[in-house]
Amino acid sequence: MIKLDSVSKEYHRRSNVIHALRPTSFEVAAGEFVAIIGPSGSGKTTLLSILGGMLAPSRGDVLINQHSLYSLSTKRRSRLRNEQMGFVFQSFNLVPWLSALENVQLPLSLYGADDACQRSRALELLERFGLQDRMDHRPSELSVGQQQRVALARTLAMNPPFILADEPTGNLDTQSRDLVMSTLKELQAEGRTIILVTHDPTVSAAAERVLHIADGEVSEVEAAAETHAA
Amino acid sequence: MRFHSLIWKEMLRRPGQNITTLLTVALGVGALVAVESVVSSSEQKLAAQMQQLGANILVLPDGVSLQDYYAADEHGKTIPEEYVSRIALAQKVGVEELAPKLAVQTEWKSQQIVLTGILPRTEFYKKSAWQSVDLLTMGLDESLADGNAVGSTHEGCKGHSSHLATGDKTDLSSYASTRVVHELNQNAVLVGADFAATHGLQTGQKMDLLGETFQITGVLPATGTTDDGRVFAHLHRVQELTDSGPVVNVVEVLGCCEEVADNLVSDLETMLPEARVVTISQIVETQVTVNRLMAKLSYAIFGILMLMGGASIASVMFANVTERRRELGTLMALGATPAMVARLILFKALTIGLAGSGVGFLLGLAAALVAGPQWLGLRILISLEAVVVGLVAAVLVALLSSYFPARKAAHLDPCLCFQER
Repeated sequence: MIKLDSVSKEYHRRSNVIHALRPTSFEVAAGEFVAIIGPSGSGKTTLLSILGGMLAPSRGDVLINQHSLYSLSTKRRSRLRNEQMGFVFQSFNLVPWLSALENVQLPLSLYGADDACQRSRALELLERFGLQDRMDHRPSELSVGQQQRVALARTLAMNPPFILADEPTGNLDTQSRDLVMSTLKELQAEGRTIILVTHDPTVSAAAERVLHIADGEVSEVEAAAETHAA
Repeated sequence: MRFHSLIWKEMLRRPGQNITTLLTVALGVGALVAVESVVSSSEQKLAAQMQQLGANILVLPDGVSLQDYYAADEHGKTIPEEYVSRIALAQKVGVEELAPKLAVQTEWKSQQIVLTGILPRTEFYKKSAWQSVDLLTMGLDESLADGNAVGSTHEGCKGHSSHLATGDKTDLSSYASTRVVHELNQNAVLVGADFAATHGLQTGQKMDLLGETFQITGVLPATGTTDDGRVFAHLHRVQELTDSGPVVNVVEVLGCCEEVADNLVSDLETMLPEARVVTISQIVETQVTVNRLMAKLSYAIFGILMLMGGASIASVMFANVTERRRELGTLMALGATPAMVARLILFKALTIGLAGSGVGFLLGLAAALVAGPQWLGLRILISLEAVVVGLVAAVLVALLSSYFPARKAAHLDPCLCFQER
């Protein structure tokens, strides 16, 4: 379970205060699929960064399974991110000088897993996404869809219970987009909690619950299924 | 995939940039190792010369300057041979042997060679006897104990002895180490090791020199000096065949110890006002100064190149961190701690420092091993001090210069991972 308790974020720029996120409180239950929708510059990424333990809020607290995320040391927060959170990025963020296999191994390597374990887990995930014959290819040698699949495999390397996705379909064609969305649904079915940030209502429609954000203000909207139907 | 693989693979991505930085470090270390090895080898050679010849004094024609003790007779100017008798007759304290020399250029088998006239000790003992000084019995009577000197005995002398042992009186090849020959036939020659090897000469063979036939009575062992390329004959025979008259180029005065050298120099200067009297330390003084200058210069060059290397590493690392901001942010999102990200940068710099000093060591080694024997005639011993200083300094410079880039990397905002490309 993730809980935001009166979380806000402000930036100070030349004596101006910018409210990137106004006081916000909500909970995401374990296994829930939540979409946060809003236009560009509305504070979506700020919210996702705070949820991911990468940006300390100006006020309020973030609780992960009842534990305060930002009361942890930087090192322990990094460890928590490594073990419990999987990120899906809009631009995939693959390391260009590593092969597909090595990119998937990366979270395991940072965790300190041994080589054999890293390799077998990475191969298993590449097979799951149909990329076993591309394991030695570098990102530049893969199609956009294949790159996103490698990124999804990397997200699952540590088998995290929380998946945070930032516009995961933003750079994809329809076929790849469908694959990503169906994968996210599968991951939810496996019991993982999915929080997805998007500006695209058709993507947010896949979620069970949708939060709207505008000018740093978060508000709950009607059920996604209803939005989709409308 | 291990932590070091991440560093190594990233470095291989753009080898050109890293190699340029590495070469700057390598040049600094290489210059230090090469110059320091040459200087240290030169110092050891000089120290060995000082040890062996420290008590020796050269009597030279006025105005002659020297840089090589062993080439003291190659200046073409002469002094009267009579100086030898004057020194012997003076019976100075600590004078053990006298070795006058006359070097002449002559042709042998269409080649220019240096024929050196040397005076066997029997000759000036005879001459001294003729001049009523009883050196004859001291030098020639084999029944007397070895150890009789030309001059008076230096009481409590702790120096080395240049007396000829009994065996040395018959073994002519001992000249290479003693610089004195007891007896030498008028038609005999000794040949240096290199000269004999080059021309395939052996004891017993004949050599035609200055219109006369000489027999090789000994091949001298190698000394690493100019003596190795020379031919030695009886001084009076050389004087006679070259119509030089009773002259020599140099008189080597072999003292018993360095303690007597200072007094001897002033005594000899008083006794022979027309001659120049020098000690080995005066001869090597210039080389010592040059060595010191080179040592200082090598550290200055090393310092400058290390500064350049440090600036280059810092510049490359800053650019690297800026270029990899998003990638490093992603690593943080995936669980890398700031300390881990800083280590990525520091270990990369450390790799450049270590590889640079390794390559530099090899470059310096090669340069010293080629330049030392070829240009300076030195047998090179690699300066371990320079290797250690080079390695430690290169590593320190690499780490210090990448400290701020590493700090910058550690303080990167992980949210950069969400930035669009």
